[in-house]
Amino acid sequence: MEAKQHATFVELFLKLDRRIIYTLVVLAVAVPLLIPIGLPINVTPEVQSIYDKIESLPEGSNILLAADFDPASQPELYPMLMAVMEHIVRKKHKLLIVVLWINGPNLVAQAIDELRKEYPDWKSGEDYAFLGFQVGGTIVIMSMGNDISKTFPKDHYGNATSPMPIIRNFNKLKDTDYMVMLEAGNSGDWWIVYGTEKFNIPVGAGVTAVIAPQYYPYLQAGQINGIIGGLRGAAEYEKLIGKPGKATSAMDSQSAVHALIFFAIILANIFAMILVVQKRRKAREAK
Amino acid sequence: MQFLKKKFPVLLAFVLGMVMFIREFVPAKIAQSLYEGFVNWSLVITGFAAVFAIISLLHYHVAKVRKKVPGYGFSVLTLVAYTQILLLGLVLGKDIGTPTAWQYQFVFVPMQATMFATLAFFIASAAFRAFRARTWEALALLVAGLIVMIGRVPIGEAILPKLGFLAEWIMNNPNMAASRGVTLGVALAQIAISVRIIFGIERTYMGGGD
Amino acid sequence: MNHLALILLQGADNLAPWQQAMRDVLTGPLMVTIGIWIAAGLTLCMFSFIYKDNPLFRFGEYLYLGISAGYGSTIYWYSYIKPKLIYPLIPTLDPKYGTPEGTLFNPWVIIPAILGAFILMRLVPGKGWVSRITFAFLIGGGTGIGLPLVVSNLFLPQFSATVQAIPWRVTGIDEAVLLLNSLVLFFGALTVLVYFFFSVEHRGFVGGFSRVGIYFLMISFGASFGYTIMARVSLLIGRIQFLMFDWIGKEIVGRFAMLIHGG
Repeated sequence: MEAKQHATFVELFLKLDRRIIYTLVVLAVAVPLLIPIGLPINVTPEVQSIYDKIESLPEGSNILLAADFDPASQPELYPMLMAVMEHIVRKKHKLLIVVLWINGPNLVAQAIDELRKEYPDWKSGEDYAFLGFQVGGTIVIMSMGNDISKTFPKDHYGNATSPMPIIRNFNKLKDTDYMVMLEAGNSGDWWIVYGTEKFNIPVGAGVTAVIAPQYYPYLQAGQINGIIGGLRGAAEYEKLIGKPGKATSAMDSQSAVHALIFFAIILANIFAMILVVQKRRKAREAK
Repeated sequence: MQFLKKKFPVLLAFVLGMVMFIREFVPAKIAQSLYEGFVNWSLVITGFAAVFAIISLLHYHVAKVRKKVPGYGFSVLTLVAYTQILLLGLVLGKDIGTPTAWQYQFVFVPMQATMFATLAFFIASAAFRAFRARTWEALALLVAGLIVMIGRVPIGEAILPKLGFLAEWIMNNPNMAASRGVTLGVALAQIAISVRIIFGIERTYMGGGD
Repeated sequence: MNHLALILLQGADNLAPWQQAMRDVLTGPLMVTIGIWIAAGLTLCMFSFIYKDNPLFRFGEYLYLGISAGYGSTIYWYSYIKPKLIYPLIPTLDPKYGTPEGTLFNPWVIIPAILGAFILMRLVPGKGWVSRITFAFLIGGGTGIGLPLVVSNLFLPQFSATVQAIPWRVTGIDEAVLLLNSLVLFFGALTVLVYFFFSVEHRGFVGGFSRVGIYFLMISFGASFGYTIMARVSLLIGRIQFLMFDWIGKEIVGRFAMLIHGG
């Protein structure tokens, strides 16, 4: 009798209503947002090396930032964009920003707007230029190897790029001292094959967590010098620049949901095993 | 006509492919000009591919409305949404402080971001239901998945500092090794397909029909 | 009509007074509040799909399609059609015409434009074949350029990094670990490649190799699984942050508190 009741509990657990799981997920996100613990975030070497590179370049170095993503990955890559851009602004590097994803440009425009409130002296055309989107993918990259201002005749705001002071010393891909690419898809592979390898440009990759594992071979081969992976990576970068933001505040929730799924999977596996053992025992008893 | 329809495209791809390939190994100025010319032209051409994609989308929804397919009201919504944001954008611009930017921020961003956020629920539920160690291979997947999942968030490192190190090791060694294998495989496949395209064996880019 | 054409074709360097006024209204508190309520409503519409497919979700889905394509078309207009097609052919339309910033006349654009227009012929029944010429041009030339680049910038660096990583001289524990890791890399990559060679029968020696390859792949899939969970959860956190703080926090609780405070 007792064994039977036990079995139903195991079965019940394994057939747990999905709405209960959904509710638990929401709670695991929401509660830590309301009551943050602030678990320490360790900086991984992959993120540190991108920070170190930007830090070590002499003031006024040419940095190219590719923001190849759209709102689908905004929660992960927008905090990364903000943190990396702020670091570049503080170090007074020259910055060109391009977008290969059609639905992305306004996110970058928003980030620039936000940043300019804090750094009003940061001048478009001199310190940075937001070149916006251009259609063509790999062809855009190849064309930037020839002439950046011809590839982007007007910047995102409609200004001609060729007379800009920043373009004078930064009009070909090979003028780039360092590149950071923020990627949500395979455009990162294009940059490596058609751009950075061809012109020997050191590059760091900030990527969504989904594609992060694919970037480790590039890292080991020295084709990229670092990886900022997902929201966790963004939180690490926020820590490095000493300005905790959205990514940092999300980390407790991230921990909670991961822990929830972790224990759910382990319990489900244990219970499934119990079920198998019980069924076998029953079958044996029946014989 | 038959030549123009069938043989000419294959011939053009072969000649251009060979020329562009050989050009890579010719240090003459003409090689660079050829490259720049091709890139400049292609940049203009690919824009039309995008226009084609948009026209196809509109065409599909207009047809649905015309035929009054059940639920065609939704297609009307798509067409109205498309037209208004495009017209507003053309007349008033797209930068911060325009109706286009406003709609981008408050309509487009929340919708697209939420669409992908819903997957969190499904993946959690699916992991609970289907992620079982039924075979040794599945066990390898499960153990690696669990270690990386918990080792990559602060709570994992707080409970067991070695977890972070272990997750890092998996990422940099076995994961990287397998990814390397896949990357090499993909590169080899790309090389093979390139050769097939240049020699006219691979012609799927020509599309169907006659 | 001319006036409209002028507005359509001009870039916006400095904001005109009406543009500034529009900007002030649209970034002002009222429109931001309205925006946040709309964004919250649409977020809930999209989330309603996790319960089941329903008209609210479909409303959001189709609205999204239209807005997405419309925004994309707008970006095309400003980044491509105007500066790359119209200005080079009719430079007088460029508001910067006559200044050093103006676009220069470039009649050559007409040839790729015609090639591009061939793609659109796919929409004309019976004339779709014309687009093959364009695709042959793009894909033929692109392949010719890409082939040596894939070899030299993808295959060779990845291959040599697999082989050269092995430090054969072991003098201490650190090198021993390094050697072990690089052997893991070498055999992992090799066995996965063997696994992918479907043309060879997976038996005997090859079979053993490909079985090891499967385990490497499984560990890699596991890592990808962990990271995919991370990604999806991050997106969910982003949306819940918005709903909790920007909407409920600022717009509902914040305003309610202000009301009580004011009263």
